[in-house]
Amino acid sequence: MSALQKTAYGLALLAALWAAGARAQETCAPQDEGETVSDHRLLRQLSLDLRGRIPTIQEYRRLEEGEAVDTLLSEMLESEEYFAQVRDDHRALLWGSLGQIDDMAPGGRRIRRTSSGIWRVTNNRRRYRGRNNVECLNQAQPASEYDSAGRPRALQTFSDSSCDGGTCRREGYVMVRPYWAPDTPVKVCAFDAMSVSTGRDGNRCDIYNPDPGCGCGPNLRHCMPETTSPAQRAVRDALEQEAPRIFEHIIREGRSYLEAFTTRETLVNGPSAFYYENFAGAETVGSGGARVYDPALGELPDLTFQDEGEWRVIERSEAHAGVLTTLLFDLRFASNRSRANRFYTAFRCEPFVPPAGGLPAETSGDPDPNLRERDGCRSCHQTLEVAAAHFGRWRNDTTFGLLPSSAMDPLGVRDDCATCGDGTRCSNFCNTYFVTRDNSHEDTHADWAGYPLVRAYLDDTEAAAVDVGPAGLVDEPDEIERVASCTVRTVAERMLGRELTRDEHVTWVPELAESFATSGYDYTALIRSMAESQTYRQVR
Amino acid sequence: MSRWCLTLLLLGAIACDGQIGSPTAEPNDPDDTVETAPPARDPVGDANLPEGRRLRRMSADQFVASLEVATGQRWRDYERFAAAMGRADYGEITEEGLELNVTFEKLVEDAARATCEDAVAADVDGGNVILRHATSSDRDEAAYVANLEYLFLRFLGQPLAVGDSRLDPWLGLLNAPPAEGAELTDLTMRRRWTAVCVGLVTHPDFVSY
Repeated sequence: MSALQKTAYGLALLAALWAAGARAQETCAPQDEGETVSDHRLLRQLSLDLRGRIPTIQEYRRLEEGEAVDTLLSEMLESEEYFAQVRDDHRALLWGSLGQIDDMAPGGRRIRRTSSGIWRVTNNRRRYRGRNNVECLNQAQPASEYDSAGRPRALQTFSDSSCDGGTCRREGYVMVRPYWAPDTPVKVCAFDAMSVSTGRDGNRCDIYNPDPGCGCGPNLRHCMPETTSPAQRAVRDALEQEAPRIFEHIIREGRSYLEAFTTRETLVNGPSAFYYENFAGAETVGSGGARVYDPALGELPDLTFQDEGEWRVIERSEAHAGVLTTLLFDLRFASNRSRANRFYTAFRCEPFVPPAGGLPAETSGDPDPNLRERDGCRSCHQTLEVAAAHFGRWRNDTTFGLLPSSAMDPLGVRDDCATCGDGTRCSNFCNTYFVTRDNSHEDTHADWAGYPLVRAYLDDTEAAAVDVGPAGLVDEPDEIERVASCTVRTVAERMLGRELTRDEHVTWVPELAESFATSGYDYTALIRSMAESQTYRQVR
Repeated sequence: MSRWCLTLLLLGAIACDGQIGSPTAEPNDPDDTVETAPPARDPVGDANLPEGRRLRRMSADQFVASLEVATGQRWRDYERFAAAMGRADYGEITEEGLELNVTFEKLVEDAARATCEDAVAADVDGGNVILRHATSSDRDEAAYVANLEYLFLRFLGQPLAVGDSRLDPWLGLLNAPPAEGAELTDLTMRRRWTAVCVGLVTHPDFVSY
């Protein structure tokens, strides 16, 4: 600590004491500059960096009784607080937030408590009762008032020209134990609470079936309370933790850090398992909202919604690639390019930035539609387009899931998307994932009509990335080395509280990276190396 | 970070005359200024000192977790003010705020006041987090010193030697006579120990590491 810094501390201390009515004085004193810090100070910085808090008085006493700091360091690296810090550090790298998703309940499946205390689905009154301002009755629905299929009959009808079909209907309420609070039964409008499995249209009742013969299902499992409700917060929190917990899981087991980008394993708790189980699986393609189509998770554990603290490891399908195919990452970064950009920035330490001297000016009147060739774009997009192609089989635009091979041949043409626009309307699906007349330059359309958007302007070798998936970003020796070096640099800069010097980049980082590789990319071993380094143990 | 360093440098410049050394050194003789020899310069150290770890402010989460370790009390208003203290939400704010600014200092003081009052109150009810080696009934400097040494270690991680001058201002606060005609009550001492706790939490050595 420098003398000037220490003096500043002293002054601030004086200010605090003066505020309390005390007289005080302080002197400037020489301090250790560029020297190894004391054991007490080292313990404090280790504790804050590795556990996110200061040491306890008992830990300081242990030092004074002769225990070595490194003994306490070993304990820290095995503590739950360290693994929580690992999660926090990786959440920061992933920018792990679903805050930009307004509502985790897709479609019209949000349920709310009305002023009368009865719950009903929002925006569904016309569908159920004939007009969008007709509520259910505040009286219990008698058990005798159900049809043979198990749907409630209206207890009251009235004719009005504003009602669909000229007649409006009102039913009573039923008591339901909602999945988010099964010990607290609530009143729910009987139409909304229906738990039949098939709609009047003959299709399965799920979150995407708008048929008025379908309801929220048993325990309201196909409906979700509003955005700020504890239930939706629990879902959001769980999904935000999934990717950081993959890192933690790999690190806790001492496995190669790189597996975090390739493993098929993931972790779910009660709320996230419930979400994947009940808010996924539609076969049709829509747009908007946090829609989950095919999470490709395999078998989900038997957990209740209340099991927030229970995290279980599950095996996902072969297409999955560690944190890069989690709902968090793919919703947070809603386009293939943004996913590749985040990966390059956070895990290769290679952000896409303009070249020195700025972007060159456009030289032609009609910009080249191929971003890999366009002036001002090519310096980034030459790399970015290929990297983004790795995410080509994963949905985007705030939707999540694996595109089935029946919907997309990564290297082939989808006929309906190739021909649409010539008198037929292009579907949202075509416009989102394929080169169509609606979404592409005429030159691009001429060459690539009907191909996946990520396939355009890639040669056959590069296009193989679509099929390989995000795991292909960390499978070549050069890629592994870059991710490993970046991890070293990120850890070093976080623990040192500064950017590394040029000399450190040239000499120290390669040494640590080699040691990291020798350890089998054991992240905790890397943290220990950093914590034991002379650089970390001196302060300037 | 750079703003903070600048602030520290400025504060240091105000407080120090640039001389690093014993304050008891012999003062300059005004007659020395007539000497023709150029004034001696401070010894110049190695300009290429190895880079080490850089001092920095605690993050918002680190502060509130450390506050709980130090005082035994969780700051109840933390979630309301976490963003203002720099906690990233990774949606709109993607970098942890580590600047030492007026807002942070204000909220640190709010947190310190709330938790220290609770901590001392809990100790009066039988706890021993703040008042471990002294009670609000003690008027004994030895007890003050023992408790201050304990608090320095608990809050700042700084062991103090016997007679350490860093205790002086704190002892000045605890030993201060009551206002004329007033009595030094246990309530007054309780407030003074609360002020000690607040002073330690708001101390730059607490919020930095």
